Amino acid sequence: MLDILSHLGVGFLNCFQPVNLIFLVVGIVVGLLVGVLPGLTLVMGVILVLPFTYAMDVTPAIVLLTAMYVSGTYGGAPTSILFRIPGEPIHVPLLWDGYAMAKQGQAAKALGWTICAALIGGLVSCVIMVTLSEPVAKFALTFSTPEYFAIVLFGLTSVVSLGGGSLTNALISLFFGLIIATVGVDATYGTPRFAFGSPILMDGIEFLTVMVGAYGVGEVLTRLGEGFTTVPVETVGAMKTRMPSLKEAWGIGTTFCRSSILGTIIGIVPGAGATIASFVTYGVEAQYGKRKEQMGSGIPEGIVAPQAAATASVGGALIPLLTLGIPGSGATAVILGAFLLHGIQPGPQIFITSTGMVYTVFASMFLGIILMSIVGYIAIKPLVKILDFPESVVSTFIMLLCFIGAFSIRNSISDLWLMVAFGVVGYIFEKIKFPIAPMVLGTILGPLAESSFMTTMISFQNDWTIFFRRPISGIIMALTIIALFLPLLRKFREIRHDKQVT
Amino acid sequence: MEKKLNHYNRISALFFLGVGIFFSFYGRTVEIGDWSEPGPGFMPFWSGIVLAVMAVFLLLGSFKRREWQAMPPFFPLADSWKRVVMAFLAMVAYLLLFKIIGFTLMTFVFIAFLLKTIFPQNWKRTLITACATAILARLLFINFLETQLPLGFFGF
Repeated sequence: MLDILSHLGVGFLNCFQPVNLIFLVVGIVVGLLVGVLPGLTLVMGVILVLPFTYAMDVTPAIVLLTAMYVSGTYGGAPTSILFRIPGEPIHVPLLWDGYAMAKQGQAAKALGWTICAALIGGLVSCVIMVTLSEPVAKFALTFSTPEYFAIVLFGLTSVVSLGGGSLTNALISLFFGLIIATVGVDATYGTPRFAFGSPILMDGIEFLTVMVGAYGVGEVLTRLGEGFTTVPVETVGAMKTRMPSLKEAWGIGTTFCRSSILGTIIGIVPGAGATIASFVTYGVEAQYGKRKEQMGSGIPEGIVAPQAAATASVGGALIPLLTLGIPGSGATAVILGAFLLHGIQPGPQIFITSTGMVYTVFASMFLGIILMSIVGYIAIKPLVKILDFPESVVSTFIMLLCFIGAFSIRNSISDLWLMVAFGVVGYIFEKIKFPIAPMVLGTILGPLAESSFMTTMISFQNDWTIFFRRPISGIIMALTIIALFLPLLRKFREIRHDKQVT
Repeated sequence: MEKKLNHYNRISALFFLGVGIFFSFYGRTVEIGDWSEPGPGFMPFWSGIVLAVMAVFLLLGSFKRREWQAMPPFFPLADSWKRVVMAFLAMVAYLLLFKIIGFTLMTFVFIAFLLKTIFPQNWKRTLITACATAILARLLFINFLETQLPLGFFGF
């Protein structure tokens, strides 16, 4: 524990180096802006900033991206509460109690509760992240390929089962992503697959190209087709923030604790990001909270639960990324891409080879959350003013940044063609209600799944039962099977319930 | 025109069925191996098979479902399809000419085209925004961040 604290101390000192501090501040401000603008999602924002990080050192690059990720979970909260415009799906639960409080003339108080929740949720998750990461990494050093395969498989399954919509659609999206990931030279045998003689396909399809296309171009095309139908912003006269008193905050301490811890845990699960954390914790509060009957009528618990969980999920999502090299959400997948582009493979070894960098990122998270709360408190008016900026102009910039971002990955025009193709795929998926996240996760985790499966089969004399016979991989495989059958069980219960009713 | 979810599901099921069959057949051209000794074609082959099976489930479900959920139209506004197709064509043109004409000039034309025709703005705003964006993007990405963006035959 003392080791961790001393590393963290050094991390804080590194954070105050001018270059790291500048990018921390920039990340916080840009993340808040991304959160406010309705046409720009958090993942898309992080993707668009990626090309700016190519020329940087790895530490400021990761500090910038994580700062954006953290503040993006708060950015859309003020507009949800004040104007009923959630900048992000994360902030939809804030419409129910936050907007209701604002309508009752308590907008300043609602904003204060949001900042307080983001601050506490974020700091709790940072403490959990710092405490757990190194022990998890040490434990992960004992993992072999069967454990890695089991973890990756669990990640792929959970994104399908947590998706919420149709299981069939989610599985189709996932397997489509897995197929995309098989394009190129196979890592185990060196055999070209689906390259059709094209050199760029021989190198495989980069998951960042898929992400830039599906999330960036696809979203712009969708908003373009809808004609940018953002609700005009009303003017709010006294746009102020009033923080809750210590006594008031203590009164709902259980909500703070429960949501922060739950948010962190949800963040750890691959595929379940801030949006799921915010919806799930709101549901838990509505089911088990002290004032569950009043949820939705404009009470602080309805604001604190989703906001604390959303910000807390960031710390959670960074744990599997840094300790195992497995991204827990779309934004961490981009951060993984940034690591790889700088020649660093996240995983347990990173705590030995790049301790300074890892703890600087940890310290920057603490500072970033405090800074985000300060900026959110004092700059509420200019932040909300951003909504006046024409969305159509923002969309042109997004398109340009998508082109530059996709090109810069491998300096190849072919990647741009692929990006446009995945933009069209993203647009069609959005229209026919197919989830994009499983496809993207399939392209990210597919190569990991395949290589760990192949290596295991070669190392363990082609005995596939090894995945079930080793204790850790066996437990994770069992969890995977449960995760896969959970939605089916849910559906079966629903059908039985419907039959009983009729 | 309003469409039902099942209508979309049927089309997408047929598409993914085709993709699944194609990839599993093409996967056979590389060695698949078996469960005890998987080859390089193993993963694409089985992914294709599962994709095809799921597509069949989706297709069958689209016929069976009694309550057909209404869906918003594919192109919600009268001119939606025009805007989307024009944006797509603008991207294709940008890609075709990007290497020949160069990043800066092509970015100016691309942004100006989008701002004038697809995201309608007045001429003054269009030209100022396009010009400022092209110059700033050039300075930032080529001069400052040293990204290898093509300069074209004009050299900028």
